[in-house]
Amino acid sequence: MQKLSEVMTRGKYVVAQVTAEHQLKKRLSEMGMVRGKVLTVITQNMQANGAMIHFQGQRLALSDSIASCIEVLSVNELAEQELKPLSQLNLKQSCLVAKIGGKKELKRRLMDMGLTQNTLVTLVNTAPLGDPLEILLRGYKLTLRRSEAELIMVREISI
Amino acid sequence: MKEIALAGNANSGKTTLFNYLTGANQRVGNWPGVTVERKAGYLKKDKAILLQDLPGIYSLSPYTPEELVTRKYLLEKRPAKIVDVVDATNIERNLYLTLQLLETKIPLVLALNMADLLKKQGRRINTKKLAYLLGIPVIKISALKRKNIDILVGEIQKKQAPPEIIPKYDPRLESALAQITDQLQGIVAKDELRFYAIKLFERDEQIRAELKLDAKRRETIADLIQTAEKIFDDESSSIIINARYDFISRVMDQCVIDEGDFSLSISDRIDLFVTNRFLALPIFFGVMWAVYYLSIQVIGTAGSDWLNDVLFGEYIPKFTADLLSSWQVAPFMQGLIIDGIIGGVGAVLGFLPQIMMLFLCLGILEDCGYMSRIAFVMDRIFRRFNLSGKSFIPLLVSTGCGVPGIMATRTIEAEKDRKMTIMLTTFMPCSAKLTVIALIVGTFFKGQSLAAPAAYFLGIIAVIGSGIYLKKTALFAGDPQPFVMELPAYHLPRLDNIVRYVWLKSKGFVQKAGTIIFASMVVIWFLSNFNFRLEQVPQESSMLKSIGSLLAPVFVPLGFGDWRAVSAVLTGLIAKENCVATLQVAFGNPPTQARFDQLLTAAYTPMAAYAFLAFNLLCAPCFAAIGAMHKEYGDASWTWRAIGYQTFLAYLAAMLIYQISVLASGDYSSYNVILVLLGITLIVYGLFIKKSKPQPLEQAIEMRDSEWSQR
Repeated sequence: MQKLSEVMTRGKYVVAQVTAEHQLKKRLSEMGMVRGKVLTVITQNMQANGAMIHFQGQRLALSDSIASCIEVLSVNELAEQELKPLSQLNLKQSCLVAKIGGKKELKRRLMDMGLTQNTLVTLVNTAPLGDPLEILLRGYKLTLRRSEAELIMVREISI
Repeated sequence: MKEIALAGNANSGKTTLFNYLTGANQRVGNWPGVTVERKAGYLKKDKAILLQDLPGIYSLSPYTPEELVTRKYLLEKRPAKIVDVVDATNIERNLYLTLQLLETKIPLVLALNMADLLKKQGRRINTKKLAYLLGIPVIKISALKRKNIDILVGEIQKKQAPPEIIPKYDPRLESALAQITDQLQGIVAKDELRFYAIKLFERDEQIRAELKLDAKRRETIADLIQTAEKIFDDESSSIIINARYDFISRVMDQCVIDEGDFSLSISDRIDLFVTNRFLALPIFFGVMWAVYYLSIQVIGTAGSDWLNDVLFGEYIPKFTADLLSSWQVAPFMQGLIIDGIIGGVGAVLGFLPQIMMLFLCLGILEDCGYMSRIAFVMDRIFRRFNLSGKSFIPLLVSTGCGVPGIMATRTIEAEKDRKMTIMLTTFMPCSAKLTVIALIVGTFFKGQSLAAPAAYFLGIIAVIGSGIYLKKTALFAGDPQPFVMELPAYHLPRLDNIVRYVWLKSKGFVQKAGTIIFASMVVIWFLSNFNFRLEQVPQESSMLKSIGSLLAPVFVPLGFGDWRAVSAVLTGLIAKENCVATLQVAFGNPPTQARFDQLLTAAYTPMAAYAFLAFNLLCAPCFAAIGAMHKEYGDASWTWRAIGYQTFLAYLAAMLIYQISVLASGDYSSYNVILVLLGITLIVYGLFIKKSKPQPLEQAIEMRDSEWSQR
């Protein structure tokens, strides 16, 4: 994890955490800058001149002080990470969905429920015997069995 | 007359809104899938508007039977307007369906329900922006708290043009869709072009079959899809789903503001306990024990004793007897009214307190959101017995009444799991069987707090054992089916919902007592007081005795080969309450509960009585439930199969209960030993030795093929 102000290579990054004081944090979240969102760095923050990013269809210039409040993870580095099935995640661990295998209908259903590429998913709980799993995505809770979770390949991220 | 449809995700509050708008009393609950059939009602404020309450769905792709019902209705009937009920606290996923509804080009109003909960969630939604971005009216409402409903009604009454703005997706996708649209010009109506283009792009089999395009167009479209798949390096249906969610993300960014990060809500904190790895099962069993012990043995019994002994034991018979004597009514008529009708119907109505208490508990369970947690907690265990966690909801609903329980199986996506759950769900004791439990436990097992819950565990064991056995048969063989389910947030049960629920159920129970059971009792009284020459005789030489005695030998191995018990079993097919009423009449309508208890304990041993109970719990359900089974199977042979299996299992279980008790008493013969060994052998064979049938070959190939196409 690194601060957006310290990012030295262009490319896609995932917002891991926003550590500003309350007022600023609120302002940033109103702009959509919250945990799990993806942004693209266009110009790096050289000599504390501020960074230029592409975020949700718009270009934004961020000052050095704001950029240092935003902690990010590099998607490229994540992409190098090996895929693993959602079922192998530890409790409370988050991940980004990479791809879904399995039968067509099931894949369709899982995607209908919002499990699309680069969606942030957190494993929040498991049932008494370790199965099914309870996951949090898109602001709601979904349960699925380990056998289904095995079909969902993810990249772990530590946020 | 205008027809307006209520559509939305499961558990978004459509039926609550429907009930309020139409004044209807449809069943509501806090779990996904309460409504399984389309229901219609006229708007209270404007009788010219017919409102259709549709089952909750997540998508217009046909995945479950409910989704098919809803899609078919929307496409074929094309209602004048759709009210899309959206759960504001879960807006992101709910909007996914909204986008699909927009594609149908039917005028749409978005009702942002549960808006009162947003503040607690730390979330603000700008409805004006949302309305602008989607191009449809958006109204914040709370169906539960009845807020802004007037505004919504006003919007429903307004004339509205079909949605102008259609969500624009990725330009590359749009160009593919435009080219497919060109192929469809003149084949489908102008308003439906986009919907059909998208469905064809998704390779929706049903739509493809429905349109019957010529070979050339089909080929062109197939080429277009393949090109798009190459460009996106993804499957066509995934491209669409991704595009929709991307669009939603953009909408969310502009109109939804989350204050602060995700924090643990009260719901989450409850879940920390309720679905905790170690506490979940003890909590579940505790809840179940409390529900049935409370309703049957504690509060229920106190009320029932009073009703049975005082109201139906003294006041009413005495008052009626005086009245009838003063009117100089013929003695046999007096007998019919007092012993037959008041005795029989009274014996059933006496259980009203227990029924009310049971439905109070079930109502709270259904309304607070614990139901889907049970499915979550129990899934792993149930899967071991080849059922899914979702099968648990029908089972629990069946403890109220088997008919809605059988209907609740529709939320189970997998065909085989659903068929099996229908077959097993009436093993759970329903409220009518509760009267039998209460009678047997109250008479033979006084003060034993486990006796009544044991009846429920017997039901569960029957379900589990049958799950293991049936899955081995060719009928149900196959791989386990997927389980994907949403967990709704908890909310405090609404007093008015619960009161209405208890009231409706109790009313239904009393009505049944006044009609079906009333009529049955007239017949039973007649049969038990007359002989075949139509002379009035004591019960001992009546027609009922002759009929019951005919079948009685069959039930000798179960310990109750007695004409009265056998008649009770037979009349139980009409309605299970009849078991109690028939015993009451067949024993000559004893004046007090204590006297009735004496007669019963003299006639049967406690374990024979428990065998009688077990048989009635597990055997073929009442005619109403058999009808529901037939409707859900849509097939007579499946219905007969289910009834046959149930009755066979009931016989086996009741026989084992009685015969083992005979062995345990030490006073037995080789006949008893043989029966026990036979029963145990059958069970051991069915559960452990029988090999599972391999999956039918075509299905296996089909599955391999579909996996192949993924690679």
